[in-house]
Amino acid sequence: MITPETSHAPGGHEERALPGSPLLVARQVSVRVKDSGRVLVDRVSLAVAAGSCLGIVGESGSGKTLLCRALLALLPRGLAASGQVLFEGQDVLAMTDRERRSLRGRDTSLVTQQAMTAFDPLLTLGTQMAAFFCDRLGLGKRAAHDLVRTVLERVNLPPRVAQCYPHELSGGMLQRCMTATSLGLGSRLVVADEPTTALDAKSRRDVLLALKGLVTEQGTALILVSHDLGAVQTMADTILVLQGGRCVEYGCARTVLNAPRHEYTRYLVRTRKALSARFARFARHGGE
Amino acid sequence: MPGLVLRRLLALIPLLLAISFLAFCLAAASPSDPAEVALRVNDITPTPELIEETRHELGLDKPFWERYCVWLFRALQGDLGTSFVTHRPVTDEMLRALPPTLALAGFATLIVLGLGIPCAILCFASAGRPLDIVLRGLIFLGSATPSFWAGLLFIWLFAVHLNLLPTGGLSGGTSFILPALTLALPSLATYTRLLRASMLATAQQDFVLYAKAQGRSRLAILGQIVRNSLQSTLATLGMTIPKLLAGAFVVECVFAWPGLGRLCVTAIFNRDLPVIQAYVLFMGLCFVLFNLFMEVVAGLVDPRIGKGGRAR
Repeated sequence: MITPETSHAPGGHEERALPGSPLLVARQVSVRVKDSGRVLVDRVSLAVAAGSCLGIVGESGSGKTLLCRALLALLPRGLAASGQVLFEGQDVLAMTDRERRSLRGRDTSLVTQQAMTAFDPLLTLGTQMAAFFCDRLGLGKRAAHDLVRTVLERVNLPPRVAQCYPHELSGGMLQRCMTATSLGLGSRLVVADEPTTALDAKSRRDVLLALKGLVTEQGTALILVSHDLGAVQTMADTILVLQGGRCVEYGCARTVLNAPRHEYTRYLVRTRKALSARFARFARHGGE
Repeated sequence: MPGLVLRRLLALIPLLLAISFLAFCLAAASPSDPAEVALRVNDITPTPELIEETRHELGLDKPFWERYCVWLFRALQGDLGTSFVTHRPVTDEMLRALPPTLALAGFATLIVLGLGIPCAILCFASAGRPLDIVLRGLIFLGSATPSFWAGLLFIWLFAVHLNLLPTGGLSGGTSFILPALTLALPSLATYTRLLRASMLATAQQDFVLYAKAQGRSRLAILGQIVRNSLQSTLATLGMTIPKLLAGAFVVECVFAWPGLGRLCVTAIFNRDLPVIQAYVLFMGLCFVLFNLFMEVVAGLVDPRIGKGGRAR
């Protein structure tokens, strides 16, 4: 297994058994452009266990989103993934489309970065969430709509949200609708790709709380992608730092954030601290 | 939604007035004197006295604006004047020729939608593969073939060579097939290409990725893509239907179809200005009203545009 304690150099992870058996193990995952062969993500390895959260951090363009899409075998056309992505020992990258589809929803699900465009603009949230539940859980229409109400309540959203169209809700509410969908599907692994980007402080807190609920109440394994170190610090047990598509540091969240070994991680932590200090000063002096 | 329609209708009034004015100006801009034309088409040698008498009879001796107001007022009451050739009311002539043209355009629209949507879906589902390439080649051929040429080819193949369908005229259901197919061909090609491109663009949207990630079936995702792409091509469809009505004159001439287009072509050859004016006015109205109709449909289908969402 790939252990956070021992992993540091990209691609050179020593494998040792984790206390909780990992749900997802990625070994030497690379993403390259099919035509040019250009490598966008380079031999990244990671593991995440049920009931735990792995944070993936790095600046924009570091390959976080591509890595996540490779883990879910959802890469855009023109890109190819190599390596192994083992979900309970089964290699997702080697599966047929049908096998992958049977895995999606109930076993793995996604909370995307673009909340405003993640749902079909022509249908209400309730209709769409119920369709997911009918499709993946085999529920009848009435049971699916009941489940929609239940999960919306669990992420602190009023039932009227089910009757709204995506454009009638805020980004934070839509992010929570995605979390509620994963909750309803009982997904065992949720990949949340920058779920708090472009959200106000309250919405950010609500979304993180909803995701935290998935991990603590349902025992979901969560991969949280963000360039917001504060969010990752709150949520993650382990952290993987990406720079230019390569893993530069991977370890326990506390170790990575308090005693970073790689210069790039130190730079990220320093920047975060400097920003926090500036905001604190701003809050104290009212911007003077 | 009724409020939106009312607002749009009110906003159309200036546009409709402009269309009516341009249609009326056709007679004024004509290089020949309408009174002389009216005499000549009836094989009467125009003398200055006769021309003066006809000018008075047709109201051409009155000032331009007065003539326009009288014409507009009568047009609003359904009186579009009298044909120079047949001496029958133009409204009656139009009403007689309208049903065959409407039926032809309706049939052609059904062909555009009935063949265009499945073709676009097939092209999309096999994008980049041989089926897509072959279908796109056929579509390109369809859009590059002029209607009169396609019509003649169809007549040669299906009516003369295979003797399956009539060569022309309106005589029963089978006589619709060749003219409607000829009329639909260019629009079918354009619409299929547009819908295919729209589906490929929609497939890249985030909600499709999200639906895939949650494990929705391919068929359900395809349904989402088709619905969203159709919505974005509604405006084009709104322009296609009046184009089928307006563009029918070539097909009507090739297939001897007793419709509006043929009536207009005959009127052009005879310089029957009241009929030409009425045709131009009618086509302008069709374009404007179909555009409005499609806006209303788009408002009903897309909750972001109108207030007529399904769940409200």
